[in-house]
Amino acid sequence: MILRLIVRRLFFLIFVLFGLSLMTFSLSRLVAGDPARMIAGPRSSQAQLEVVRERYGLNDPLPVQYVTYVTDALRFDFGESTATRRPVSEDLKRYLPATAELGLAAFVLSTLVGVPLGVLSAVRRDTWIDHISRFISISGLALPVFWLAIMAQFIFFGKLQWLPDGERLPQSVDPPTTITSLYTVDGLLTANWEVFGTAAKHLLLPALVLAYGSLAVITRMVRGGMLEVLNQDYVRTARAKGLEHRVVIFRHALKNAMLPTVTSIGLQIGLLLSGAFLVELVFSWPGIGRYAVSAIEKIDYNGIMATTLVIAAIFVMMNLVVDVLYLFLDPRINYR
Amino acid sequence: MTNPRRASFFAAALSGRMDRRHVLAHGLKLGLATPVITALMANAPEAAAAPAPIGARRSSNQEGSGTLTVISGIDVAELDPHYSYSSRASLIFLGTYEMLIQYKGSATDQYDPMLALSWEGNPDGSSYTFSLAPNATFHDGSPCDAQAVKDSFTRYLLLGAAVADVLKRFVTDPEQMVVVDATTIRFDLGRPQPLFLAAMASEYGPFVVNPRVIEANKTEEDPYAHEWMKFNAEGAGTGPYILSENLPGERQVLTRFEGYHGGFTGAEFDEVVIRIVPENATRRLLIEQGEADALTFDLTPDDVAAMQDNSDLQILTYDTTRVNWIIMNVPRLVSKEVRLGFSLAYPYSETIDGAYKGLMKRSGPLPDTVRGYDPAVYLPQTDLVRAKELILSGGFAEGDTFEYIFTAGDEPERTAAQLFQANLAEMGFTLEIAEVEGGQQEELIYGDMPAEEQPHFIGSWAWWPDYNDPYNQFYPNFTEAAQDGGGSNAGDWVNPRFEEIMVEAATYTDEARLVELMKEAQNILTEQDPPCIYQGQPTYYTILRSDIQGYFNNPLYLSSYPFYKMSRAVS
Repeated sequence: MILRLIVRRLFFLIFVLFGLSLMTFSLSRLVAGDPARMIAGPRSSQAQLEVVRERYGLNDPLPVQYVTYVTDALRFDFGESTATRRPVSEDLKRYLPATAELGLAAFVLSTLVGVPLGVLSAVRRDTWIDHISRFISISGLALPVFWLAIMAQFIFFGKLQWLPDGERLPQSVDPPTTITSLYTVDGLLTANWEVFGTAAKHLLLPALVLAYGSLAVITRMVRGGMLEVLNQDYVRTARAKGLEHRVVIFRHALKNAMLPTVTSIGLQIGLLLSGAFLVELVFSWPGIGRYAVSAIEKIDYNGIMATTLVIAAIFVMMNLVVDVLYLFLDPRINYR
Repeated sequence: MTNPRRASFFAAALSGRMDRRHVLAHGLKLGLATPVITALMANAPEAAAAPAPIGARRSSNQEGSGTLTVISGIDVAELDPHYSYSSRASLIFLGTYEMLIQYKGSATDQYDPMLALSWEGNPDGSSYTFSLAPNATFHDGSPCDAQAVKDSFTRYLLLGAAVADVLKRFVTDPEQMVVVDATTIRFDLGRPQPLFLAAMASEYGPFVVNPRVIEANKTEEDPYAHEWMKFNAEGAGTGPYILSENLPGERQVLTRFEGYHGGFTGAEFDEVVIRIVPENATRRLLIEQGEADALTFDLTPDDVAAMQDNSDLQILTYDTTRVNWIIMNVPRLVSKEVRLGFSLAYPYSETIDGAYKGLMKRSGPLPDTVRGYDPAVYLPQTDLVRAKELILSGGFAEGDTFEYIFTAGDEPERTAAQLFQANLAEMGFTLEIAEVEGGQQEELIYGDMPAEEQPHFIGSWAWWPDYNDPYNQFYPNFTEAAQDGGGSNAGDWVNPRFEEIMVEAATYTDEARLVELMKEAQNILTEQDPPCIYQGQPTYYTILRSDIQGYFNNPLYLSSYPFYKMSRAVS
């Protein structure tokens, strides 16, 4: 059943990516702007522009450009970025790990804090913990991540000087030996504690800011789910049987309350990626979000399309993971 | 051979019989295995040769002034000095490469030695001879002699990038460059060229690049090794600093070239770090907190105003050769009277005081730092009554709507546009303002879209010449040849007398005649037949930590620093 589900979803993924590529390709070509001018420079002559257009295939008819693009993309060749002048696949390899590290840290933080906070909030309903949790939920959803990032940086770097302003690693610290390209993980794996500590310190503030919005959603979802199941008969039965409070909450109630939360957590990964666009700008984080913003500003067709496709693919894959997880969490679910 | 455990795992998974304990156990194993798999993938050979970050990281020896940290809002995409046309890239080039000569201090008509220790022109200025530093070497240790200079300029010409126009105006054939001896090179220009030295000191293009490095990295398809030079600089320059690290999106690091022919006093910085910080608020925090030492023209005017009283900072303001203006769409604005009317409707003092917080001064199309500037140039004063008369005289009526675009994210320009909108509203007209990305704006300006389809006004535009020459300021913006992609004459403005002036200015030899011609040209561009609304010369600023010394600006090197002259004061 799982294999069928996976195969079916991967089959649909092809259509999703095809549709997305067609859409981004068409839209990016509709936007006024000449990438050749961006490459050759504003003061270049028509002859110089022609050379660039020829080199980058910009003179070909649009359908030819699209087919060439898709054919190359199947080999993970996304062409050359007109903004950075490097192969886009190289750029993705360079920038994606930074975003992955940031997103992963934010995901872990939001889940590790959000789930217990939601549980506590539900179990101790209408107490100060609940009020704090609800404040976090509402503020996390209401505050724009861009504003939150600037404020956090101003307070924790500018005023208190507890944490660095951003960057993955300062210039004075050499990056660790590349294993996963995630500096904190590589620092751990190579037992390079200086790098691990410095990278973690640099990661903390942007990850906290990025996590805040997701944390709010997760806390709210868990709280809502818990409140619903705590009134169910089976929970009352468990309590009547004399089970410990901890066991009732975590083994019986939370497990069932987590079902909708898992969906939400899966979707949060997509939202974390989009939130990273703004967080990366504020914290000078060299990730895919910043790369995408720069690609948009510079009409870098290949950069725009590749980042869109990669983010879409990650989003779809995360949904697939959530669907598979559902099968294990709830045996009643059947995707047939 | 089939692994039974693996087979049972897949069988269980596929049949849906796997319980949570299995999922956790296998998930844990997968989690542990992932770094290993990734490591193997990361260490696998590259499928295709791809540009790598430059050089290995070097640690500072801390004998000099340590590290100078400069912050910049934008990254650099092109490291080939014979291709790049960007003042941001010149920030690196002026530290790592050398021209033959450079502008002296803050002067725009005097020169200092760089690779050439001395130079002289023949009496009519048709030939110039440069004597090179005999001990000059490239960063790879090879000598930088006259032949290397000739080979480098030959590449600069033949690579054919737009930036080569700086030299092509004077030298079109490599044979015009004559190697006299190992340390002497002569440029035979064929006719008097009073601006040749000015062009040779430009920050756009005339850098000397090591021909041996080009030779070593060229390919059949790329005979000038541009593909290599886009991302690399090892051994290529002769400047006092070596580009030792380039992490795209993060920073560039320059370290001292100990073999520099000019030598070091010991006080210079050992290392210069150019950190890329895209967000304005972060840049301000970094310089205020002392995490960065220097920043140039990269904050909002409000931020600069707010930092004036910070005793930890030096805020140096100065004029450059840049002028900001708003392009008017000539076909849609019907007549020169209408365009003059809009010039009179513009809120000049409000824009300078409100939008730019005083960091701008009125000017015409030519800044006061460029030869030929007319101190008595006509500067329209805001007069809404007269402006309305002139606009109505062109057939427009009250209630008419005009379109205005400017670059997204340009805060002062947003305020300025709103101030202009308010003035027009007071006169009974509507100004519709739209923001576009920089790339789109450039396409509107340089593309071949008919003027009738373009907005009435294109804001956020500015120009500065490549070197001290008014022709270089005017030709790409206001001539007929600069229309439809030939330059940035996006308003399709043509004035026959102005065309005649440009033809004469292109080949002038008499400075007094040039001044006369430019006086007339400036009057045409401002009073007789204005193609633009000139906001003024933005006042540039460099913010330095209080212990940084030796800095000076040059109006033609807009975003650069004299790294070699700078140091940190001993406390």
